[in-house]
Amino acid sequence: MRRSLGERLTAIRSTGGSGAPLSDGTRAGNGGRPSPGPGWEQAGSYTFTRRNEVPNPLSMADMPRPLDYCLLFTRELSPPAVSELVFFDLETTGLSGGPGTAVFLAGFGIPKGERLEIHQFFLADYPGEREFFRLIKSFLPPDPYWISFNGKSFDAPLMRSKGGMNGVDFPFQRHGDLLHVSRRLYKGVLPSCSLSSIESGVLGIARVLDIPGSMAPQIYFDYLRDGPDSRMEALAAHHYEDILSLAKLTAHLSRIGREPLNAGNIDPLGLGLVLGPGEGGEAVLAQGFARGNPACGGLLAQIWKARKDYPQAAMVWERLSRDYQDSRAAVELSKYYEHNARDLDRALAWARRARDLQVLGAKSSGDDLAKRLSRIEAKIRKRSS
Amino acid sequence: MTSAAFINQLKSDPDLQRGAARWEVVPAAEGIYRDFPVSLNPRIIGILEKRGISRLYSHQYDSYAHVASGRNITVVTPTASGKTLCYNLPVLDGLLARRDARALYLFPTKALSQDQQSELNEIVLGGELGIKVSTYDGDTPSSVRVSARDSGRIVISNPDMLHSGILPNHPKWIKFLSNLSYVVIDEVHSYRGVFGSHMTNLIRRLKRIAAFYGASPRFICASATIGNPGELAEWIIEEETVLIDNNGAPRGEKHIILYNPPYVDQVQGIRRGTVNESQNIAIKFLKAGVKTIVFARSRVRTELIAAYINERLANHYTQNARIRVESYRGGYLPNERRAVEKGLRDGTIQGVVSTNALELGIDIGGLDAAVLAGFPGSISSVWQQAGRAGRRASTSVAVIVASSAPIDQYMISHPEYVLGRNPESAWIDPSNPYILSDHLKCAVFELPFADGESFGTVSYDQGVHDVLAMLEEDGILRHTEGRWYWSDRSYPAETISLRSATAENVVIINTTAGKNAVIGEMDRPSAKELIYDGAVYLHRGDQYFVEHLDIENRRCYVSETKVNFYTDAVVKTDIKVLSEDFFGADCGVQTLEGDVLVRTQTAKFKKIRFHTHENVGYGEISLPEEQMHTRAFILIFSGGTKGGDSFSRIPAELQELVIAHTGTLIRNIIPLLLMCDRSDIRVAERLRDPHVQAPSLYVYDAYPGGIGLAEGTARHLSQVLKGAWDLVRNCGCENGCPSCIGPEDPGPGPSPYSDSALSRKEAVLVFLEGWLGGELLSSAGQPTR
Repeated sequence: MRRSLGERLTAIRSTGGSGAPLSDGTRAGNGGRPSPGPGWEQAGSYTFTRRNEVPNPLSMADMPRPLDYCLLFTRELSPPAVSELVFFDLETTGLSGGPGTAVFLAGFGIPKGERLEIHQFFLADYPGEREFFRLIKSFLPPDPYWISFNGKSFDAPLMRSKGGMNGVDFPFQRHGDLLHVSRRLYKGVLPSCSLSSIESGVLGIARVLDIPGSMAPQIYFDYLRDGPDSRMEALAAHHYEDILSLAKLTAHLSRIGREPLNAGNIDPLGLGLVLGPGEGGEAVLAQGFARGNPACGGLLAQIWKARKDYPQAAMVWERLSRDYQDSRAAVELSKYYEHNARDLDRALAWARRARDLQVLGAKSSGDDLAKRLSRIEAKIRKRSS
Repeated sequence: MTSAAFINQLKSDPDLQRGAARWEVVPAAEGIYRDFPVSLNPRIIGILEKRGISRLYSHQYDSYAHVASGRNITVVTPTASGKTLCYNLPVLDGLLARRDARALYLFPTKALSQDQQSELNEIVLGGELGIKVSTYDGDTPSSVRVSARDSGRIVISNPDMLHSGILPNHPKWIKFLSNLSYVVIDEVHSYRGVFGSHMTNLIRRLKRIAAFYGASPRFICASATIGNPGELAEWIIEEETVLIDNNGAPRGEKHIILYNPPYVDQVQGIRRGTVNESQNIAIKFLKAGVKTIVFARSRVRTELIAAYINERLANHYTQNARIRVESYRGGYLPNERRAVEKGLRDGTIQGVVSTNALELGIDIGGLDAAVLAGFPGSISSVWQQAGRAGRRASTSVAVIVASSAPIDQYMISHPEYVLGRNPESAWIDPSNPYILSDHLKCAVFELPFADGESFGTVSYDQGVHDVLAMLEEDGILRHTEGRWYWSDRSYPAETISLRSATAENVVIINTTAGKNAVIGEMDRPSAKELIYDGAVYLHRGDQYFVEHLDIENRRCYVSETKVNFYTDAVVKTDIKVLSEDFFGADCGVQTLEGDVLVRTQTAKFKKIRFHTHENVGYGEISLPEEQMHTRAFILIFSGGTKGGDSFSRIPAELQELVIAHTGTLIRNIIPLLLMCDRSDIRVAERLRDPHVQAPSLYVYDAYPGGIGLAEGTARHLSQVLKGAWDLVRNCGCENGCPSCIGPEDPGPGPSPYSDSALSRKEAVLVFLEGWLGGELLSSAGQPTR
């Protein structure tokens, strides 16, 4: 009865549908896919690999036990050994991360003593996905400590789901994401917290002739259709540099962890948060506060208050309320004098100061403060009666 | 007040007596009960007994038995018939029997799924069954999502979430999907038209992914009463189902009153408004202590009626505000809704005014009376709304207050359409090429397609290949070594909405006094006909002046206004037949079904004064023409057919108007037979059609690609034509009104009828009777005029 769908579609097309782009040029048969560029070896019907070696940025020669102070592992009971690390990064056909997103370049940096081996895997066409993931799996150590840049939200879930669809299981229990620490240190300090911005602003790496990662999908689609070109080579080189940068950034975070007071241009509050309560973190916060960052003082006082080191905290609060018109610090002081130092007159004075500062700064939460004021006044009346 | 006494009081009420076009009494029915099935898990029986349930209704028993034996079911469940047990019993029983088994519950809206979860939790927690129930929708926080995926045995969601959240991320759902044993599709009747056409394709995708993980779930569908529940369910799941429509729940006596408000202006067929009439009736009920629900057709009317009722009650009950009436509609916060629902259940609220939001399965306990302010658009809705009154054993009353709209007036003159067992059938068109290719995109994204692989009932050679090849031409797929791979950086589900055929709605923004509030949305083709620059746009009773329609950015800026005219665009429509798929002859005319290209252009508009309908001015419209490729069913009045011969006997000067009036009539009657809105279907008339070389009427879908209404019209042609004839001859107007053949066109020059022996209505009747006379109309009883 009805015409075939194809005819109906053709009719739609001919009546104002979008113009269709030209069709596929190459139609590769029996897996005879071309190499993405020079230096690659065929590892399977659809998989090419490339191996490079560079000096290990986390070399023992520079630093004994290089990861002991690394900012990536401040929450770990004991940091991993360098030999357990695998730096990894993917190039994909899209950012949505669903099953329709293909991983066509996977790179792994494996520290081997004084050397860092960088292995890259290239998927030459979609039918090779299963082989691609199997080869990667058989190459990798069984339970690595992964290091990535934004891998926790993108690369790792994608490896898991794409691997899972192809019957290959990748464990990601141990995983340090450099992006999270970098954001703490460099947000507001660098124009952005992208890897390339950290490379140029912190690691002193200047990439020449680099190709932006956002072009990766199109370069791959063009490779599938027309075969390799110089852009694919450039993309593979970009990907290789990314992996190397992961190792360099990790080394950099180890150096900062060792000497946090010489961290260079960072946000001291962020570094203090990464280091957490303890000698190193407090020193960084104190330094930051001394250099004019009131938020560092606020956090420092909070840490000391939690440790019930009130006199120390009170000194910071006083400076905060005097030099920075911080009404919350005045409230904290009022609390301190009311409940800990038991000096109601001072408590009242600081509560009034807080009220004045709130008016100045037009900050709300005045209800609590009003209650505090009247309570202290009542206590004073009671005491004098 | 006892029910019987109250009914007697109603019967002697002069207003109701005068307006009641029909007073139908549906007698009470005893329940039909069965003992618990022997195979039902004793833990479930224990929980039911604790809740005071010692046996099942027959349809609940049958549902359990069929699902337990491995079949799909479609259960038809009027309100208050214990629907949830129909699916919860077999599902919970199955989940207890198999520790890995999982179930997916799909509800058409989010609010319903939340309601459902509270009910399920009650069962599941109450008996400590240890079955975790999780809601997964747009409001689910991401922390909860993980546990829903990993440990939810029953996941409650909606089609939109399945489409854009679950299926495109199926590797995260491996555990769930590979053990998927049951899919419950509730409110199946709501999956019609565009939404239903999407739904079929969505279920194809779900089954495809489930099969990839080795699962093939049973389907349990629940539907309100419609003409073709089993058929619709089978269209959607594309598998056989057992239809269970022997409802065994008891019900009390029900009085159904079709009420027609008195005329305000008989010439133009205008009657007193439903807002005032409905609140009058509702107040009679409330004052008599009868718990009442009023259904209104829009959110604004809901608010209006509730406000009027409360105002009136306040005057009489200033010291004694025992009667509490609330409004309920979409747009309220969830906790506000929950509070109203709870108040209705526990009796602290005696009256509620609602949109159709309360029509769907939300539990609000028993009410005694329902007042429908206007025909709700489908007979199925009438029964659902009327069904809100009267739970189990008590007597209830439902009053349907007719408006002046065509459908309402038809219903009043043909009570058997409402009261007979003849609700509309739902129609879908899963082969709509736009919808199908959208879902094939999503399907390839989810999993590469193999050569030869079919998609649901669409075979590879008869459709799948063609679409995939087209997508490859577009450069978003790659076909290599016998498989089709997604080869684009985009995420297709993101841009595809299940609720429309194309994602191109114009947003209407009210900019009055510096406001910037979105007040509505309209599809692009309608926007060009209704909200062009200079138009007066009516939105929920308020007038807005259209400042600017920015069609490129899909924005329309309006400001509030108050003028005494409305605007009417002069739309030129050109229809080109692209394919002649099926020629036929039916009901005395030749017919043709096929694809058409509809081009519409709005070039100018008329300003027409209210009431007098005189033309007070013109305006220019400069908008690009609109093109739509859709499905059409064409009636051809060629010589030698009864229809053609009858038409040629109409005086030549009247022919143009007669065929136009007949078109309006047909467009007015179709929504009564096919479940759709009047705006879903268009009719264009041709006095001499260049394609078929004869006078003709084109009935076509108002959605790109079609949604099955043209085909539905073809299948029901004799009913459509007979209905059209009934509508015009029984209409209470004097000489044609919007309810039947359309109002008189106040065009320039003398009316062609001024010299004619026939009036407008008579001319149409002469044509129809000459065409359809004899056996077709004889079954329809005596004409009333």
